[in-house]
Amino acid sequence: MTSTNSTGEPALRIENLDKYYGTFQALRGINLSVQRGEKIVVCGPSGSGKSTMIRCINRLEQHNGGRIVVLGTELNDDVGNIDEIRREVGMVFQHFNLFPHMTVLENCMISPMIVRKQPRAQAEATARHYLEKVRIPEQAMKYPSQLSGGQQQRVAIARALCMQPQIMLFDEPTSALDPEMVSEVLDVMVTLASEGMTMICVTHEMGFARRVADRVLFMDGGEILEEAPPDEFFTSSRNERTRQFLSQVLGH
Amino acid sequence: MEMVVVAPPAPGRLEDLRRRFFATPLQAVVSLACLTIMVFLVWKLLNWAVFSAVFTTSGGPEACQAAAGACWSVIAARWRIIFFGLYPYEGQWRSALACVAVVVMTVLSCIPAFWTGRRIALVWGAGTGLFYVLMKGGVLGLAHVGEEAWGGLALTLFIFVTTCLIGFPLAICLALLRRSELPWISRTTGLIIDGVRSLPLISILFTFAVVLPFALPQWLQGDKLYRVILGSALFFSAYQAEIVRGGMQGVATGQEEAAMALGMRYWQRISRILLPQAMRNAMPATINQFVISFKETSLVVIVGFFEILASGNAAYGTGEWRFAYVEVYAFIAFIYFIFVFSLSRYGAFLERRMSVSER
Repeated sequence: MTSTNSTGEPALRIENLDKYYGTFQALRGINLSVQRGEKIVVCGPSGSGKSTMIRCINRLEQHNGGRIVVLGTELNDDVGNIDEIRREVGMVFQHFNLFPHMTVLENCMISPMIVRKQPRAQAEATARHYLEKVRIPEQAMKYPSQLSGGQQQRVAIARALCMQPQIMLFDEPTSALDPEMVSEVLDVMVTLASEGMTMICVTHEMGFARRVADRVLFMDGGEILEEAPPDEFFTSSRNERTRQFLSQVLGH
Repeated sequence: MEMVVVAPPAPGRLEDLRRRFFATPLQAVVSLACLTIMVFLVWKLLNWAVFSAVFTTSGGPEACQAAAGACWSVIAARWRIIFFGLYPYEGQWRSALACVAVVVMTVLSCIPAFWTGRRIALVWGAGTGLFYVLMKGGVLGLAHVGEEAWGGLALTLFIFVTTCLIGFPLAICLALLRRSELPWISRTTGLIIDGVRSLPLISILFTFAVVLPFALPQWLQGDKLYRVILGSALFFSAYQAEIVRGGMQGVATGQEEAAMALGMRYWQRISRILLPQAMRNAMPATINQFVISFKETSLVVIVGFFEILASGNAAYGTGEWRFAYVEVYAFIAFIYFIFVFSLSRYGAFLERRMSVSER
């Protein structure tokens, strides 16, 4: 096992990644390297493999071929490696997945306390700090079901940040939200990006991609078809399918 | 002109009654007939149980039998045998204290403040330990009383509580094994659960009490009572495992994924995320299972234990009180009712408490 903080090592390196569901190949030879502090936006039609790819990064899905190296640690069957990577990689889900039987504060405190073994007072201070950051400190004692969708998603972001991860994964964080709540979540993500967090976001929010992404990836059929900085991606895309997708997403 | 909107006045009590029960002539007749029957039945019952009943033992069984109403003197005369069974007379205070210990233990472990591993272990350890010492004796100057002499309410409570204490964790283990990703584990567990569920409780009790001693070496047998409790716990756990599994199926898959993504390990995910939510979903069915198990303790009579129902039989079984079996059964039904009703009220309390965080 290599050291976590060797300089020059990218935050994430994916080589020839393959993933099958039975006989269906969901990912075909994905190659991707993400530097520390880089923000990647992944887009593409549904079923293109974007979610599968980022779920492989913290082993919510098991890959069948190729290598994934996260922060210098290779993801393999070694449970120790998986645990180490999951501690350092935060994830935000489409459907928030907050723990409904705990208050907002407890949602944010539980993992630092039982995974990182932080004392309660420290975990609570951290939790309150991040709840402040996502602008809902006053909701700390409520249960998730008492909050709006946008508030819940911001809690989910705070919960992931409380583990003080080095990489954040976003799996369509605004797709399940009512339109008027999308911007409050994106604002939090923009702030996070401006502070230098390494981020990989699966999203169809092209405005967000333009503002914060260093690179935009377009995936279809389990492959990365295009990879370019946002200016280039939106104005002079080389790929026919990318242009078609963009015209559908940006059409209205 | 200005419109003033006024809500229609709420109907008064009488008006409400009229609308609900006397809206049409036919409805009025049906309502009156039902009311008459109900009043008649309630009056008959009260007359039997209270107004014409005999409460004292002064007249003896003969006077009691002559009375028109219930003969509660049988309870006054024979309550000891109902509560304590064959337990020696001079030690019956120990049996009573043991009942109190079990009830206190159960009540304490129902209070949310005691729901930490250490406290619950402390409460259960102290409760069962105290019960065992009080009942069995042989130490601290208490005379030794073998398990074969335990009986009545104390035995019923002991069998019920130990069945649950052993059966509940076992049920959770079975439910977890059943959802294992390895097919040979999940299928074997499924087979065990279905196997136990396909047997009648009586045959399991009989097997554990009578057949098992032939199969086990002497040192492994233990007293018949503990084998019977094990059998009944196994039976309980097979049913409860399916209830817990049902509760787990109601927990969204995203919950476990979120816990994994936060770096929680298997047992942390199970104990902090999955089980608390699964038990919430399974609460009504779980309370139901507890109620059923409490009443099924009466089946141990077939392997020779005098739990409360069998003790009741003994209470009116002597010649002089033979006529008073209805009163004895009514009294025992009342005792069952107290316990079962408390259980269901507790279930309702838990559901209210949890409703705050419902999705």
